[in-house]
Order: sequence, then C-alpha cells, then structure tokens
Amino acid sequence: MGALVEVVLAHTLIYRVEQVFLISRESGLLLHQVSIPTDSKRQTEMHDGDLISSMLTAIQSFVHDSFGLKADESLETIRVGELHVFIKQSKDLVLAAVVRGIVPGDLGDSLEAAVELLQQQYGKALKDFALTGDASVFEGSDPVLKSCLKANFTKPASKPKPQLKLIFFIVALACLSLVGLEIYRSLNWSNYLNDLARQPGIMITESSRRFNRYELGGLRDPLALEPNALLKQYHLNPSSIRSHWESYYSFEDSLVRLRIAESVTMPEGLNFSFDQGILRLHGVVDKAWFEEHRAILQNIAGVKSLDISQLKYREALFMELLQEQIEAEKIFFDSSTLELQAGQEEKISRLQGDLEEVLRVGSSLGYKGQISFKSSEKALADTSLIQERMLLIRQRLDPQASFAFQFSFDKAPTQEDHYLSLAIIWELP
Amino acid sequence: MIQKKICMLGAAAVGKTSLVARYVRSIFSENYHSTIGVKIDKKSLDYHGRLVNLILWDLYGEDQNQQIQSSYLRGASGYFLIIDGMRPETLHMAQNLQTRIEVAIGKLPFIALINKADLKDSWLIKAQDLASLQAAGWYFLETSAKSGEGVEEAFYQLTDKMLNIPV
Repeated sequence: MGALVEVVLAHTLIYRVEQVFLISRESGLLLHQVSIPTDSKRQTEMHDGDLISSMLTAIQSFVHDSFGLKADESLETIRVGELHVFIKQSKDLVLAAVVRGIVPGDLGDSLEAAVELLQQQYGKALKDFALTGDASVFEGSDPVLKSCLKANFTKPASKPKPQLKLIFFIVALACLSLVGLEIYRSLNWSNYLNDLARQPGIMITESSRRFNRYELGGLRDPLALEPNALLKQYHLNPSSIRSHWESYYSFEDSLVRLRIAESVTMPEGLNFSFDQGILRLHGVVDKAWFEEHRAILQNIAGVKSLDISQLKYREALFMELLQEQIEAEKIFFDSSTLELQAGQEEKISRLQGDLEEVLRVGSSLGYKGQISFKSSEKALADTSLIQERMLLIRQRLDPQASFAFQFSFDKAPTQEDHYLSLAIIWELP
Repeated sequence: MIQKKICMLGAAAVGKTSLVARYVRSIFSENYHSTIGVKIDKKSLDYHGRLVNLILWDLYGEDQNQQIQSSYLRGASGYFLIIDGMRPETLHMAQNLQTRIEVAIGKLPFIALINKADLKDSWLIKAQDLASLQAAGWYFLETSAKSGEGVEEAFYQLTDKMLNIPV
C-alpha cells in the first residue's frame, strides 16, 4: 500500500521538502532535523543525519577552499536528478533542505528567513553547545524546521462531469463515424473503379479521391456503358464526381457488334455475327439492299473483313424455286406423234411466262441461262421425232427466239410415257 | 545526547582508517579520502550513562604532496594524532601537525596513538623519544588495528578529555 501511495505521489508531485537539517556552521554537527513522515527506510536514513550534516559541511568547505570563494560566498545548492539540497546559512547556523521535484522560486527566501530566525533564538545556545556538545536545546527549533517541510502536488484529475463524458462520447462517436465513413467511401470508390475498368469500351487513365470529392478520367467508346450508370450501385453521388472522358473506338467484339447494329438496320431475315474482326452475314436479303449497304458494313470501325458465304439473295431463292417448278413440268405427246395431249397448251403457256421470269431474275443476278430438254427413255428411241417435238415446243415457248436453247437430251428417270421436260442451265458470271 | 566533532590526523599510511574501521558506523566510501580529503564516520559510546556521538573526521594522511585542509578542523572538540611505531618520521609529522592545529584552531584535547602495537618489538620509536613530548603534556596510547588494542579506550579517553570530567 505504501509503495502505491509513493507511486501516486510521485506522479502528482510538483515539489516536496523532505528533510531539513539544522547544522552548526562551525563544526558541521547536526543540531536538529525534521523530515516528512515516510517509510521505514527513510527513517533509517534520518538516523544518519549527523553523518550527512558533517559531510555536507565538509563538501561546503571543500568547494569554498577549492574554488577560492570569498568569506561570504558558499555552496548554496546541490542538485542530483530531481533531488535538490538547498543550503542557507546565518552567522553560526546552516539550514539544509532536501527538496524533491521542481523547486519553487520563493523556497530559498523562506529557508533564509527560517535560519535567521533560528540564529536569533539560538545564537547564545550555540556557544554552550560548543562546550557541552549537548544538542537537546535545539529540539525547540522543531516548529520552525517543520514549517519548512512544504509540498505542492497537482490536483488529482477530477472525475469528469457527466456532460463532459457525453461530449467526449459524442466526439469519439463522431470520429469513429468519420473514420468508418471514410473507409466505406474508399471501398465503394475502389469497387466502382474496378467495376468500371472491367466494362468494355472504357479505359481509366486517372482517378483520385479526397474525402467526398472524386475525379475520374480516361477514354470511352461512345457506345460503352455510361459511367454514371454504375454509381448508384456503389452508393456514390454523381454530383460529387468530376469526370472527363475522351472518345475513342474500342475494337472489343461486344462494342463492334453494338457499332454494327447502330450503323445498319438489318432487314428481316438477315442476321450477322462478329468475331475477331470478321463480320459474317447470314440469312436472306435483297441483292439491292446488300449492294447499297456493303460499303457501310465494310467500313465500320473494328470490321476487318466481310464474310457473306452464308448470305442468300432473295432473288436467287425465288429463281431456284421457279426453276424447280419449271423443271418439274412435263409436256405430254400422244404416242409416236407430234400431237400434244389434252391440257398441254395451258401448261406450255404457263411455262412460257415462268421461263421469261426465271431468265430475267437470273440475268439480274448476273447469270446467263440456257434451256435444255429432257425426254423419257421411250421417246428417245426415235431421235427425229424427238427433235421435231423439241422444235415444236421451242416455237411455242419462244416464238421470238429470244431464249437460248440447247438441244440436248437428258434421259429422264422414268419410262412411264412420252413427254419432254425442261432444264435450265446457268452459266456463272 | 552529546555530540562532538573529533579529527584523526597523521602521516600517510599510518593506519588511521584501519584503526577505527571496526569500531565506527560508516556510510561513506573511503574514496572520499582521495576526492575531497576527508571521510566522516560516527562513533557512539556510553559515557557515564550518557550517549555521546563522536563525529569522526578522518583526514587524508598528510605527505609531502598533500597537506590537510585546515577548514576541516574547524569546530572540532578534540583530535587523535596517529603515529606508526615503526616509522619515526611519523612522530615528527605528528609534532608538526599538532603545532599547526594549535595555530589554526587553538588548544584542544588530543591523544597521540602509536599504532601497530602488535608489532611493538619491531618499533623504531623508543620510550625516550616520547619523553620530551610527554613532559610537554602529550598523552600517548598504544593501539593496534590488527588486535583492536587500545581503540575503545582511546575514544573514551578523548571523550573524557573533551568533556573535562575526571574519570
């Protein structure tokens, strides 16, 4: 407990006069001493006050003689760490005070006053003491010496008032909140930047943050995601962000696809795919439309080449369909004659129109068509008859002789009857 | 309680400090001798039922290079002069010291201690050397640091002289 008290005192102590010695100036003998009530160790030290007094006197003499001081000059202070020994003397007496801590400026004056007072009181007694050595008379100096045992402590920190506690709590809470908010903002901003950097068509070249003010800049494809679109997700306020974006064309596939779709409205039936710089068109389209848009498609930023191997012209499909119909028709004759069977005239008339149409469409696609005949195997037995029939049909189909006919025979797969059918052979442009 | 300051003086290496070492309370190191030239001890004794504290100023042994600091003598009530029985020159030194002390602080009770009594057979100081001094009022005691002979008596005798009370 004593040790605890000492520790507490040591932490609150400004200064404390711990011991005061009244010493005979002539002999260095201790006349009387007082000290603050303290532990047993200090009490033991007190018993050696007579030795200490004499040694102090010896040191004073030593200093005085060694440094050639004048008669009225003497050693007045000894300091070791926080311990000071103040020495004040009168004509016959020496008052030495051991002080711990920061010595107040007026301590020297009060010690001086005390020693002068004692000089007046005990001047005569000192002469007797020199003869008898009896120091008991100086016990009467006790009150004066004890009055020198001064001390000053800092006031213990008073218990904080409840209001102060509350203010402290609020301030601490506010500080914590600010720190938390700062961390929260920092994380949000960092996550936002990461997310934004992952977006195609956006390249962040600069970003900074100071508290709630943000700056952001870089390159952005006009078709890329609007950077502000992500802000809400990360709880960031658009008004706190100053951004500066330079436009550029991104060659990332997803962006080029958007650019293609943005540049050209694909007609119904036409689709496209884009991968690694190659734009592939597939489906059906009017030839005229493709001719009109071909250059546009080829010049879209990011498109290196155009693949139309999967593209069909609508005209070509129509042509193929009509050709199939034409080639499916059979013109029947009576057996071994040039006489057409009943109903064949209408068929020939229809075929005539169809042939004109298919040749026209083929021509528009750049093809040049030739018409050839097929005949049943049974009819092939009489070549001259076949040739006559062929000429007959050609005259009927093409009275103006504007079609290109090839008089060749293909063997039809059946032998069921006597007929001719047509085949169209296209020459590639 | 009676307090008296006494001094111990003598030539260098006469055994002053050793002589009293076993009989005094000492809190200061012997290094004080070589630093400030004095070591202070305390001898308490009972004198006719009264406690007497002798504050013993053990002054650094005087030699050719170092002399005692006279200010250390101030306020003393008595003193010992220590002499080495085997070194006659220490007797002469004691005489010189005694003269100087009387000049400096006046006539005071003192006792001359002839040390190394345990080696008395080898002493070079003879009784006739002391006769003239005894006639002049010197009081001699034989002491031995080794055996302790005469030490307590020396303190008692000096106390007696200082207090001027007949035994």
